Amino acid sequence: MIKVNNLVFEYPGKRVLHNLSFSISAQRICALVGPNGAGKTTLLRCIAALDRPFSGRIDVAGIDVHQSPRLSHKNIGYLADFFGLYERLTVVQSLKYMTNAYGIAPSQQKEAINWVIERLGLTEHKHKKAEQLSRGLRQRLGIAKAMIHKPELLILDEPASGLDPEARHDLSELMVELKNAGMTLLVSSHILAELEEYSDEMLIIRDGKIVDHQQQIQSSDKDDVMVQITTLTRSNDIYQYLSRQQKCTQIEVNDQTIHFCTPADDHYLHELMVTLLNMKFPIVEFFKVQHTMQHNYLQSVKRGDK
Amino acid sequence: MNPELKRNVWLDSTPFRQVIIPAAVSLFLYLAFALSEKSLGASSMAIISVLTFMVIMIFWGARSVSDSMMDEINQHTWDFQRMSAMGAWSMTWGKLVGSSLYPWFPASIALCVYIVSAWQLVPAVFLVKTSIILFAIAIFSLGFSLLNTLFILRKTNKSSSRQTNSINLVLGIYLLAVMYPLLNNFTSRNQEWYGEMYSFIDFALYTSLVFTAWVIIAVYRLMRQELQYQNSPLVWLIFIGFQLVYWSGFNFVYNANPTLAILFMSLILTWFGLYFSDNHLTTLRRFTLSVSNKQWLSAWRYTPLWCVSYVIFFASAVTFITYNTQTNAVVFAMSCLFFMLRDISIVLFFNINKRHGKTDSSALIITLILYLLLPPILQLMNAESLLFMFIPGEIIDAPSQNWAHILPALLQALIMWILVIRSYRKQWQIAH
Repeated sequence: MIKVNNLVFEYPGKRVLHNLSFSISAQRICALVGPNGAGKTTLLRCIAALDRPFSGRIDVAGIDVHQSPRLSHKNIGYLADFFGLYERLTVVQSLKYMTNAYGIAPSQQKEAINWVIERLGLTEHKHKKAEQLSRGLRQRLGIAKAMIHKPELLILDEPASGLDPEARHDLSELMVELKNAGMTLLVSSHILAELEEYSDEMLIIRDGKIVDHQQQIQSSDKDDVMVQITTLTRSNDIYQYLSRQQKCTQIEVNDQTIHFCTPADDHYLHELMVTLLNMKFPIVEFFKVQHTMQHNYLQSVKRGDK
Repeated sequence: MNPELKRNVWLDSTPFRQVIIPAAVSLFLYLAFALSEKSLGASSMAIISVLTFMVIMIFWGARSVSDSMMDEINQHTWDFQRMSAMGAWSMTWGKLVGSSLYPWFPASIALCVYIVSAWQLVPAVFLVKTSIILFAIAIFSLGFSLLNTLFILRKTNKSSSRQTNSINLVLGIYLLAVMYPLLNNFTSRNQEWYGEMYSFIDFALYTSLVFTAWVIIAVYRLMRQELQYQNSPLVWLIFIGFQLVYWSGFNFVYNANPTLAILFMSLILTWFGLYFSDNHLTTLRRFTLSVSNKQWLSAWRYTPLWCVSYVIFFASAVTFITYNTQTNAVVFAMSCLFFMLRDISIVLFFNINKRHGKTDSSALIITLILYLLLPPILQLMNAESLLFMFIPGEIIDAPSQNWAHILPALLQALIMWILVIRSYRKQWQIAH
């Protein structure tokens, strides 16, 4: 769906993206993560054909986005991190405007508006003006405007920022729903725990360079699990013991905390815990770490540092 | 219906907005009518309605257009529009008409009142032509306002209502000051152009239509850039050609020294192109990279406007030298060429070195100091003989050439270009 080749973006006197090349398959949700100033927004804006790169090529659904920006926009929906709404227009008017702007045939406009209103849970609010909507509803309207033309690729820049937990959960469900409906999503966010709920792959960028492109987040999540052990005092013996276990990988010791990866097999975990306790290691906590994405991200960033 | 137009119809379709301003304008015109019946005279109603139309469109309409565009940027809705499938042309006319939809209501009332009140005073053809001119002035003002807003947006990457409104106000006052007396004088005047006499109203009609068309073309071109299309400087080249042909037709040029006038006009157009051009470092790098890679089509697309203008300016200088053999034309023309090179390099220097703050305005201030402040100071110090250091020397009827007078311009241009090239290389290294 997205093919990026040797993408370079520069502001005067500063190179923001350095020769990025990657591709993302159709019907996937790719999380774009990285620290502030890494170049995430610039990359998203280049893919959306809103900013022109210095060099390189971006194809979305087989169209060179900078050669044919208007044509490519028929396949792309984009929601910026800071977006605005026409405050004095109602939800329906805002969406009607977008159907006109996207050149959707008049006979199909009503259907498109109803589809997006239903999908985004805006039915009860469709006659409210944008200025009367809550933050969460505004976000939904923003997404609705970005996807009303049923794009093949939906790009969302920090879509969950400022949302309450319930709205975030709804958003996560929506992402999966959209993916299942055939869309490809590229989502940038700082909240890795949330990205983990729906992302298939993770693209990590730092200082304008790709640090890692993990193409299997969810499946590895199913097969493996990250375990954290906290000990009373620092214990090298546990580390040595775990290192000898074939099923324990990616072992990391950080003072009194040990992280390692094992197969997601509860019987094995039970046996391991009993063994460690029998060996009288000073264990205080033993639990599965939920946010493997965060762990993977930090691992990748550390590798990048080295 | 154009999406932009429709959106503005929704926004302006509140009963209050639909009634209040047209009512206010109607009452004002009625008051003018009542007064004109009693004391102001028969033609005063026509004058007041024309003035009302011009004030509404030139000031209020233009302001509405720029405010609407700036709102899009400040309220972060512009990206939604840029992501849509609307083309540059649809966006251009949608914004021009849509954003000014509301001022058009009272302005149309004023125009109707003008037609009715002038019906008995002037021939119908004249009335139609005047109405078209008024319409063209209105569109010109709206177009210029949008052009101005897009231009500032492209130059500074943000909207500036203070800057935009100030420029609009100056243009508005100028248009009102120039056009209003002309509109009152149409019947009694003729205009000479390339030695032929034309009725003034016809000349004004065609001129206003053509200049309005150029403003709309310029808006369209900037809109294309906003939508990520690449513009080549071809249209700019045609614009220069049009300007040279248009202004050369007036008798103050036609009967004077045409080659000097063309040299002067191409100099102004190069200056204009210099400030209108996209002089961002990244664009300059794209241009130089395309040239060094011999990608000529890409190089042509990224060619700065001042480059094209300078070529025309150079050709004008050669023509001037060819036809003015009895004067010290070579020194004058070459000084002009070098001073222009220096001015270009000043603008580029500030654009490349962003740390100096506002790039174009800083360059403009430096250039104005060099041209407008230093020469009078030299004159005050009784050092007129040194004026050639800052302005091209006078053209005198002497075939002998004082070659030394070229040196200051050449040296200044050389020094500035060395600084530009050094800064350019430095920024290149920083970027890598």
